[in-house]
Amino acid sequence: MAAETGTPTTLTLKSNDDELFSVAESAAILSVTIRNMVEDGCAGGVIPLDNVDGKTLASVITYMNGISAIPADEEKKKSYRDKFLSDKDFETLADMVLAANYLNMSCLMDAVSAKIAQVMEKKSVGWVRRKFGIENDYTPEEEAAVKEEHKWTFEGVETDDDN
Amino acid sequence: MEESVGETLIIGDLGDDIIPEILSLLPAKSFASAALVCRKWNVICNCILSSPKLYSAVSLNPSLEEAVNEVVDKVLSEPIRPHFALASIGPSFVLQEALVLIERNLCSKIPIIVSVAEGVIGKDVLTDKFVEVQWTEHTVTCGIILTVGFLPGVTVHLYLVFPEDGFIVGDGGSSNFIVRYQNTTTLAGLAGVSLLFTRDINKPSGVGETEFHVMFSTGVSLVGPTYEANIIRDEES
Repeated sequence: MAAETGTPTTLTLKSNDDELFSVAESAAILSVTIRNMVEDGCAGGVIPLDNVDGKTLASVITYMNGISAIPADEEKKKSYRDKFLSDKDFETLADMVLAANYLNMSCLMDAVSAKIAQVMEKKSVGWVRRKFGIENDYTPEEEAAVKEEHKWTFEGVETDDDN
Repeated sequence: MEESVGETLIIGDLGDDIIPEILSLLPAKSFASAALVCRKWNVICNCILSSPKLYSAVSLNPSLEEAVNEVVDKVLSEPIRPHFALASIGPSFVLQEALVLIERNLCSKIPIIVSVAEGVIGKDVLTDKFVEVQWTEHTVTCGIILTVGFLPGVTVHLYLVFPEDGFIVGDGGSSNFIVRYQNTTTLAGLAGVSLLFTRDINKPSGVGETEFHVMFSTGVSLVGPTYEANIIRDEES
């Protein structure tokens, strides 16, 4: 085995659209889901990740490699996460939070959730519904009542655009 | 109105774990808009606010407007639907101006009480450290502490009480205060003010319950007169 020859162990991950990725085991076990597979000895061949597509997995692996290369310094890790997420659009963030949840990577999950919350700030209700694919199921009366309750919040929120 | 399907992301299946996680990270105003998205999100928001919350912040910024903005941003940086707001300001600030600035950022219907205090103690918005300032000992008398509270399933009312009513409690250290409640502003000198908490009979289901307990404490250091409750009544609505 690789571990015996002193070279780092490499795992092969397969996305749900059949892309294969090589990643160092030391980085991949940031995912508790993958770590459990490794510990149970079922990571020998290809690890299929049925809930993650290739594009998202590539991004997650970039993050795994990046964050595991940083020594135990929470400040530096945080600034890496901020930089890593800074140029991601909403759709990518949503894919990543699903992947992080599936892979059980709490540090990525927390960071992406916070980033999504940050993006949602100051966005209109219409924007949130569109982006999350949510149907407004309030009756007009109910909606008016909830709106009345939260009237104070609508100052400073964008009216209803997409950005 | 409807956009192309390609741009619409169907992450309604983001799951029952992830949405509450994200919504609980929103600041108060965005959190309130989230309740408007759909019934399910409203329920999630109510769950996140199922226990009483109190947030407070201190600013020693010499500009009243900046000081108010700083403390408001801080106390509204987490999910809360303020039921009442209490503020104490340094003697150099003007009560009426402080009230207008605070009210601008909060629901005009909730009780807001602003008083001139002898000092402030609390967490500084800039350093996140506890600060204690007594105006009498300092030349600088600018500063504000703002506290907002939320109690699930409870409605908060404000009452002014006058000495002839015979039940004012307090040390008189803040004899100057101004209150705003139900679109009415009252500048009060001799009166006292009380907040009345009542069970909200119209509260939507799924909202938590708030329980009140009464205790006496002389505190860790005795700085002023001590008080006793003459009477505590527990009345059915």
